[in-house]
Amino acid sequence: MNQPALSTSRQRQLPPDWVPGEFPLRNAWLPVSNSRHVGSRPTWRTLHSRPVFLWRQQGKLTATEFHPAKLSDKRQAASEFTAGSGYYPVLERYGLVWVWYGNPDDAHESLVPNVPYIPAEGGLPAYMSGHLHLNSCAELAMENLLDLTHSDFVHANLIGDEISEQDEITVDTTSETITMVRTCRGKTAAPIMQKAGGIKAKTQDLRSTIHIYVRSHVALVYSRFIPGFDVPLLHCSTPESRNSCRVNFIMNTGAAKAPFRYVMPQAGYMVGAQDNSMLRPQAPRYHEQIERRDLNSRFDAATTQYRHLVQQLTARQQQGDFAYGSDANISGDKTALLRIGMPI
Amino acid sequence: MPTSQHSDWWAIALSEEVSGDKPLGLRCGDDEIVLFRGDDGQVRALENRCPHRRVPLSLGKIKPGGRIQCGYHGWTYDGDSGACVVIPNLRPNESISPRYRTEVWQVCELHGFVYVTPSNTSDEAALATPTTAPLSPVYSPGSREFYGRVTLGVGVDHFIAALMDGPQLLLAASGVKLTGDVVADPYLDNGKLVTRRAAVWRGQPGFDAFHHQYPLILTLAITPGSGEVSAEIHTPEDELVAACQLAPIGAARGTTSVCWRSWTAANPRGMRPGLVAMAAKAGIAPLQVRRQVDWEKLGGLLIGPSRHWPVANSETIRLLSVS
Ligand code: FES
Ligand SMILES: [Fe+2]
Repeated sequence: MNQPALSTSRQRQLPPDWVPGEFPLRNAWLPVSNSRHVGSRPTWRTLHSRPVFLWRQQGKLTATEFHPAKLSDKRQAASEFTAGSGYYPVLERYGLVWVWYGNPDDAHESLVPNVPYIPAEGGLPAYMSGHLHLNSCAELAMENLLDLTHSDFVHANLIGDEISEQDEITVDTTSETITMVRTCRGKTAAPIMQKAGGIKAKTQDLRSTIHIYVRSHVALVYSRFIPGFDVPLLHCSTPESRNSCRVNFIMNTGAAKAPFRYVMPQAGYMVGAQDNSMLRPQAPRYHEQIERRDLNSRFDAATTQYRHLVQQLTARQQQGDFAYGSDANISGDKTALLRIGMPI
Repeated sequence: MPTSQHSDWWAIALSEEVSGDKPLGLRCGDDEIVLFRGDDGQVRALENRCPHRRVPLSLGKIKPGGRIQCGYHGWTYDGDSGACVVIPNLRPNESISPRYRTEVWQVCELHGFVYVTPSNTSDEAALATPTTAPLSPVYSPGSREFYGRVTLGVGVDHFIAALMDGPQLLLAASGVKLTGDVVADPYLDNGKLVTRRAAVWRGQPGFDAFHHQYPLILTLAITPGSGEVSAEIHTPEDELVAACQLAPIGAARGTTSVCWRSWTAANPRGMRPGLVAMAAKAGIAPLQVRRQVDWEKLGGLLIGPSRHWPVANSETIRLLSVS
């Protein structure tokens, strides 16, 4: 029985398009866990389908390829990611545990992304952080962050509609980062700010700056609402596999009013579920047999540039170049770039 | 009413399943289709994939004027042409390239089924006027109608073959026991492949030392190409006891999704056909696709008349016609 097919009309010969999540970018610190989830009993995470065991040995943070009980038996099977030792380079910063994914010889503290609004030593209250599992690769999750127009449809109940008097977006890139600044005037006030933050105004001015460290899949999202509060969010989409990523997020709402201060970080769980409802069915379609490229509107400038950046990094790494570009400035202070404390 | 001798049309849904409230995402072979009913009552069918970021359009919303809006970023498509007609937040003077469109399927609703056939989107004329239409099924419900959808863990070709070789494993009849006994070799009738099986009244003896003929006949008429099946149970006097129209479609992972509608004669003659009709009035479907299949038995089912099916395309039809 022959079922109908549209296939013939679709076939077109094009150079291969980017398939998100296909190439694991190397030589980057990846935040794998919230610090407080790692104790003396080993826990485990996955990085690009490789197991990472985490525990504290007499207080010393340790990350290995194998469970500590099996470490001596299995050490011969250790990979290049631990230079055959079984031990990954690991450190703690901003209340997160970061594992180096790449050549251990290249692991330097200076390559840990800077997060200016979270204390380097961590210690923020537990209610400000959370973790999610998304059914898409890290790249699609990052695109979702850079993509503003979906909020109107996917997150409208929290963030409000996208109606504003004035809405400006700028996008800047370096060889390792992408920065998007959005400035809105007279934007419909976010329902969650009205309900939990005591904001009476119908409209707000908003400046939202998103700065992404592409290799680490780490995003700084700093939003300032007037009237309202600053919402400083650290959003990490750590690649677990080609089909999944783990989101560790920290929202430093310490300066905001209660109950908004407590409610807003927890809204991350709802936002995550809403995004996943689109990411889950979207993700497998980047593996279609017949290639058809995504169509873009002018609102997709940021995601298109992000894709371009990932493709460039991928191309460089495929040729064996894992060095950070001179314009990278990964650990430099990003306070000014995020315009923290500056008027809208 | 559209009629055609050759069917490129596929019954992929029941009319009742396609509403004006929520789009319906379906699989048809390798293709994914979204069906929705516009405010004019017409069913539209598009590829279930937004060309913006590939999200299924079935997660979106039906909009006035036969349009559907994607649930991710709100791009909106015209259900008739597939053209993207709205990208939210564009300025009034910004236009959308005609290149921005999704694939369209032609739709036809007939006898409680929704039929689709691929459209050649580059040919605007073909889009406007359907050239062929579904082969009209044998359909004359005279009584209360039943319908349903069942997904079975067997591929569509095997489903049809098994239906020919052991209909009792896949169909359940009210008051009637279907048997595995063949009554006639498959033959061609009006372009359909027809096969006949024996059936008996439940609780009554069948063919044995004391009964020299079966009391009932199950006729299966298969439309080559689409695989639609008309199943009817008759008495030897040609009195209709129960009918069922089946539309099997190959779904994901080798499964088959079968839409079916079933009915009895309006004024059945005889006590037992009358009982089946009464049971139908009380809510018992006269003939339906089983939800629970005995896979053990299906796996052991010997090949019978289906020998004629796997190649039941134009070639088989030609061979059967001359024999
Ligand atoms: S994926 Fe459909 S509008 Fe973006
Ligand atoms: Fe989102």
